[in-house]
Amino acid sequence: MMSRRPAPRAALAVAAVAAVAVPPLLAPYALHLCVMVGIFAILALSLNLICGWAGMISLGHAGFWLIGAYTTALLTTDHGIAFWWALPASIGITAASGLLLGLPSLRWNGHFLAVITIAFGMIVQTLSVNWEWLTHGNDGVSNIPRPVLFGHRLGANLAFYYLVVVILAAVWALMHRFIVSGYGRALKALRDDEVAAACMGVNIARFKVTAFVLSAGIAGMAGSLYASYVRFLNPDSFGLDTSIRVFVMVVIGGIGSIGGSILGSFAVYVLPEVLRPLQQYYYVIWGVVVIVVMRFLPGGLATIWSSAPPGRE
Amino acid sequence: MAATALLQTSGLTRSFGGLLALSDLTITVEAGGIQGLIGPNGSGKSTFINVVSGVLRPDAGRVTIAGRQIAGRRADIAARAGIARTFQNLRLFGGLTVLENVLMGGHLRLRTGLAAALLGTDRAREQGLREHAEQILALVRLTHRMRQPAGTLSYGEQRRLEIARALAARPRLLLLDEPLAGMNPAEMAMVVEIMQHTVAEGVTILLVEHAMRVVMAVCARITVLNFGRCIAAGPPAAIRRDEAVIRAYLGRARHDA
Amino acid sequence: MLVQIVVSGLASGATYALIALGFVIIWNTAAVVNFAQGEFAVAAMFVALVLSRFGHVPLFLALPASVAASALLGWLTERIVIRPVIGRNAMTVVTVTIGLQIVLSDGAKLIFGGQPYPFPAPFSGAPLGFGGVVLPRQSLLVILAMALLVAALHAMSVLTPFGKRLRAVAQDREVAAMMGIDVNRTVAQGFAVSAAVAGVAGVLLAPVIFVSADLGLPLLIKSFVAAIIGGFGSYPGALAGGLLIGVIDNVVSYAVSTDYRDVISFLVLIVMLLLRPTGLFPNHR
Repeated sequence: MMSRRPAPRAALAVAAVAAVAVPPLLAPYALHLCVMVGIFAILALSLNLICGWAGMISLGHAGFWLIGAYTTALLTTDHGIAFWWALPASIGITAASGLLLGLPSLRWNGHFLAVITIAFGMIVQTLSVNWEWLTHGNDGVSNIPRPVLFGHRLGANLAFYYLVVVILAAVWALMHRFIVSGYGRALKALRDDEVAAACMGVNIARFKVTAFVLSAGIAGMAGSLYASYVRFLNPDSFGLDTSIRVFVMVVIGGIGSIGGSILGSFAVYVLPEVLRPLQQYYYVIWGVVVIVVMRFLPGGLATIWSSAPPGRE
Repeated sequence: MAATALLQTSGLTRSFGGLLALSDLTITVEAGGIQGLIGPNGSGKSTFINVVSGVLRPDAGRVTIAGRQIAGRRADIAARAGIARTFQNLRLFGGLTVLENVLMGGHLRLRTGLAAALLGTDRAREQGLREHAEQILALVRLTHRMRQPAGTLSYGEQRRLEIARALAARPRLLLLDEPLAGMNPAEMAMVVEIMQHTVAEGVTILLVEHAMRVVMAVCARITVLNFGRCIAAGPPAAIRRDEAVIRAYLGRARHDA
Repeated sequence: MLVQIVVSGLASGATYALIALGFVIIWNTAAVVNFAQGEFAVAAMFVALVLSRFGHVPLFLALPASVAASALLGWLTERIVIRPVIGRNAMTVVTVTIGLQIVLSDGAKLIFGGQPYPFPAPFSGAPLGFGGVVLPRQSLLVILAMALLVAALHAMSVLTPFGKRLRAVAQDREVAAMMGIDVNRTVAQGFAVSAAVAGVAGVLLAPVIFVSADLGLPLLIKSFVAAIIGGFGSYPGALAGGLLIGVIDNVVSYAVSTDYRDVISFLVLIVMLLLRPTGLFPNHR
């Protein structure tokens, strides 16, 4: 985001103000959509770290999301642990599972990594169905409590929305710092040319695994928020279709663009409302939109406001 | 080992599918100045550079830089030991700007923790790196291109950027793999000037190059390879008269024709 | 018993193998990883279903017609969806094929709903017995059909001018263009052939499963895995990989449980990648 004109600061400021000021005025369903956009934006950002900056691919991020969500769900229900302890536990356990997926990335990339990450996602989902002793299988986990903050339960969706916004902003800020730092530069360098990056002293293995661990940790955070928001989990929400959906959010929004990931999740969640009169045709139209956006905006929605040539930041 | 030997290889061997690219190669690069490495096409020069810089593993042999054995270790470890290099077939980071490419060269000198990077407390080091990068860009005359993506530079500019990126590492040993390839005389002169400036700062250069006039003019010592073996080593005047060297080049020339 | 399990595994594996073959044809000619490949098979299934069940067209006409329809779909895919983005960043192109996958599978759901449809079996006679081993006719037919189709494709690729053009484009697009080959046309035809092969897989598979709109993605994943196991880009590899996946699935379903079928197939994939990173048939191109 640093070398090219990103969104004008004014536009960002307007968006930030809108994100804070508009939701109280929204109908309950619209507010619900906003919360989901926020959670998916965090998930999309985590994937963008892998796809956009590290130049690798993951079609298994729903697996990380699941691990994060179930960790929080099971800790807060079966074990009575508070959300604020479950959240870091989710991040930690998911980050550890990121290590598991980071290791094959050292050996394979491209199609091989795509298939291995698909495998990861499907294996995680299958286990969540079949390990009933742990996950309650297809029955799912219900009555997941909302977080309690300063003695107040964030039962209202509006309060939870602000929690999501704060966390999203923090993730945004940290990702931005990471990307403009020497670490982010090295990640982009190894995306462009691994051999040359290694000759500059970049420890390729460490960087790739770090990228996967960070990405998984952030995805776990999104999962933790999701569990506590929807209050009921079952394995159906975490399939390959979800992984693909998040991937599409990232690419549609703009590969390697932080704002793009947020735009992408916004597009995925708000488009159905725009298309509401065409409800049953929504998914087909969504597919067409994906094709058309890629045709005319190869850099994603994030490039709408910059006249820069399409490409990756 | 002589006290002045910066790079010492011994018994270095590497084959590709039965074809010996390096065969029991022993080479010494003394500290300071420019040492040339020449030889006909396919004589093993690029393989040598790749093995020394850790891009390729040797099948056997040792590579010692300033007393540290690095043969068979990863490229980033070679870099850490003080080796920087350029690539014959240009391997710039095309998606990064010119400045970012040079900053990448200084990657090892950044030495900030992840936490410092995330909290933004690495700014001072980044600033130091950046000032050095700008000096180097001025040296290679690419200041005006600083903010452009490296992929948009002309061929000669990309070659200079490769050198700039390697210099940003403040290496002990700089391996230049055909830095003059495809350049016009004016560009060549510019690169020679850059090399001399670099040597004056105490960096040792190992120069692989086909432009013989330049090699003879700038190198204090030259090593000649043929079929992965060292067939001669010495000052330019001696190399020019060396029977084995003349045979190697003439023999190939006749073979090529 | 084991023979029966293996044979019916080979039968479903044959359909994965064919879809994988089509998938690899597109990869080789256009460097596109086509996430809509499974949908080509599903499209053929639905066309055959509509013609035979609702149009009362006899199967021997409905099957070739549905394969032709899926070939047409493949050709249109290249012309309308792929050609404008060809040569762009791989993630952009993959996303376009994902968009197409969404359009086709949800389009099918829109027309036919989410429910599964039974499909009439072309050969509904009693299973054949071979010295105590009883094998369903459909399984044998599928394996036989796959073998014939592969032989025909191989002959086409080696003998016909079209096959030679296809191979030239797969080898090197630019050189092919310099040789006077119309690359765009050849790639479009490659898509048509690829989709037709997937279509054959679809109509072979239809009688043994229920036809439904959400089959495309699972079929794609099976064939993607098959192509990887086989050595990405290799035709014999795609076939062997598909057959292997089919057999493994069936043996695991029988010997362990259907719950863990996919997990074990994937673990086999990962073990194979560790042992043979280049796949069964390394593709030196």
